[in-house]
Amino acid sequence: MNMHKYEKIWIYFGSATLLFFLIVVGVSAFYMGSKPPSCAVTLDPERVREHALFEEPGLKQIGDNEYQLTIVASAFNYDVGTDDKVVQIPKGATVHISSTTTDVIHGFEIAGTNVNMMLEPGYISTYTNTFKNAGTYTLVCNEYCGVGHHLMSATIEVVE
Amino acid sequence: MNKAVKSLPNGDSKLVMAHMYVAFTALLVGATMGLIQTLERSGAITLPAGISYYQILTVHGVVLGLVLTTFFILGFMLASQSKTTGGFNKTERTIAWIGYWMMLVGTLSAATMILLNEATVLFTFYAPLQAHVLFYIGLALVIVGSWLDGFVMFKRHARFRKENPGEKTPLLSFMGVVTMLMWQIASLGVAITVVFQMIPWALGWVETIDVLLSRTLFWYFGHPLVYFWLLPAYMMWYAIMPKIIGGKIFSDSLARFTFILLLLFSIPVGFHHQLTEPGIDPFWKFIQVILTMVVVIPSMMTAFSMFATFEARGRELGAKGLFGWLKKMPWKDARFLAPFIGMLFFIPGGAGGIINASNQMNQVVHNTIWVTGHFHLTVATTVMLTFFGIAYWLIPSLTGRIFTKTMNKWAIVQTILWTVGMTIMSAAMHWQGLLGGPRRSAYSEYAGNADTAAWGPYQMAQAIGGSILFLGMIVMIIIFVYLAFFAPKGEEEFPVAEPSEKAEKPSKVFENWPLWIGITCALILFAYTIPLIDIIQSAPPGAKGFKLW
Amino acid sequence: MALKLKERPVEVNGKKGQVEPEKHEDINLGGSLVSVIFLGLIIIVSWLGVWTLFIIR
Repeated sequence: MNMHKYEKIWIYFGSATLLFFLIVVGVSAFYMGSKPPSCAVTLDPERVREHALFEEPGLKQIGDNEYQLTIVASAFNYDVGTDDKVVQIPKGATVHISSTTTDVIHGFEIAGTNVNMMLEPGYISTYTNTFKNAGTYTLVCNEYCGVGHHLMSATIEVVE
Repeated sequence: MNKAVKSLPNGDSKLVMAHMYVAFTALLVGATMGLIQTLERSGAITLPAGISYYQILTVHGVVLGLVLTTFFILGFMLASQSKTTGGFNKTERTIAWIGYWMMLVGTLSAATMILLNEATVLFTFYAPLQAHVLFYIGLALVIVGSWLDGFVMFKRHARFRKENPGEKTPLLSFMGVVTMLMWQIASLGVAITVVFQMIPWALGWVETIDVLLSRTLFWYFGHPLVYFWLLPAYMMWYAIMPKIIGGKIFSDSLARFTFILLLLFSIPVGFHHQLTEPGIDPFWKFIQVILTMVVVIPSMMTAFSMFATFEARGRELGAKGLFGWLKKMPWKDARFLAPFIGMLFFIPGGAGGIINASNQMNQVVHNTIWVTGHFHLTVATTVMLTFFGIAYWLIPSLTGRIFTKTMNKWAIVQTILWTVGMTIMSAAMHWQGLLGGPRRSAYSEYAGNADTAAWGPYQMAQAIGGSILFLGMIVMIIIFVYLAFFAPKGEEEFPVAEPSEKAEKPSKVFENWPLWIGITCALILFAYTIPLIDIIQSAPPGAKGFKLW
Repeated sequence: MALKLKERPVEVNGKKGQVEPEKHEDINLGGSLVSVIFLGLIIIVSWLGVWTLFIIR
């Protein structure tokens, strides 16, 4: 097959660009540990509340500037451990987030941050995040889960 | 009055037109739902009579994403197969009709369940939301029906090779076969989850369903699905567009090579839709991210071929300078303008697609309305404008009528409305998505915080774009009805481009189907075997069905 | 690229009567090259834009 020399230049240039993208995300994921949320820990979706992690949802300090945030999602609510559905997190702290669903698939997205994962029945989704900027963030469900899908939310306040 | 001359044998014309009636009815219904959605989400209207946003959204997605596309594509590909190989025989036509009726019955069955609010599960129907069993049976019928249409194309292509030994096969016929091969191999995944997981579960024969397995099978199909939309547009660009501008096919061999690459690499990439999901190993996610980047390459080759086709033709017409050839293009011909703008929209569309597939970067945009903006650039603009461009000559050439000058003007108005509407709507969706606005959500004030309140203006912009698009859809429907039933009788050309005289004969290896199917399967097995075993072996207890609407 | 098709032997000075191999070298495709490179730059800029967002968030 005969290829025009300009087309060859373009294919080399394009392939090099794609390779560059892959190297950037690959190094970031496998060398610097910034992988997409992929936790493979399972549980019985009908017995979420009996699982040690989800007995008492909410924010707990587990170390020096290190926290565990556990949230149970269900149609159409996030149980974040507080009645007003507000969680206060210190800025710059390491926060290990664990969440799961008791019914259908939900989304778990703290808008304006990189915390964005799927919650699927039977699986625990985890992600470790450091909130770099103070402010009020909204946790929203970004996967359709039923007629009240758009009513699912909670507030994350990142405080100084 | 002129005599009506059809571009295809009478029976084939009827078959293709039957597909087109369904496709454009779907456009009318689906785009109307789209308008209602954007208005609802702007906060301007509240839906009456307890109709939910999500029911409307399910109609929109199913009717446009599955019905319009599938019927138009199969119709167009049957037409180009018939045109380039010399028509179907009686058996082939009968099988195609059976396929058509299966798809139509399936569509009506699924649509009835959606209208009865028994299947408000959106067009992705993720378990454990559980729709009525007739919804799933309808989907299965659509898929199996489409396979029959595919077999007809395979058979006609094989018959051409038998009847013309040693001759190269027509490019459009070859591309149709590649597209349907990809479609059949890919839709096996969704057929398996629907038939073996969802139908028994919806009937109550089994109590629970393996959610992750079902999603993985769905996305094994879901990404090739978008290539099933795109490849027919590429067919038009490679093999028809050159004729419309008066030129030749830039390279017959490269076009075939591109399609083979698309066949090989468009399937083993489904994990890039599941990057933020638990239960899938990050290593295998990354492997499929790499394969996704490989499938970008044939699209890059397509981009070059298109520019080269235009430039070569422009220079033949005496164009000077670096971009003088642009001036030589037939801008006032809607058959050219609509697909050309479609091509331009694939530039931001492709850029967005690479971003979506970039492993952990997906967290920025996953399930935000950025994604909705993305596929309204790719399928709803690139693919749809190309399909509209096809309809302008295909419909009259099948009904023995002509695409009049007046209709051409309306078609240009249509193209402009679509371009402007989609630019506004899609840009607003992309920006709102970067700010975190979720997709597939009714109007909501959430917790009343400032971050979510800032999404309001973007939703208003989407309603403006959606309204312009609605007008564009109405114009398109008027053009379709006119071309199908009222345009003056005559002969409209079915444009099929020729390779240039100097073209090298495409290598025989392109027709080595066992080889290509073999490599395709090998790549799929490589990308999916270990993660699938893992998903099945370490599966949690299954999920019961829920009806939360 | 994962696979390469066997190239047919290309005869640069194809004799009369033979099918000449496909040749595009004689067509000036400078505009196409500039166009696709521009397209590539759009991809790179938007990718880096979202990557930056990912890093700073």
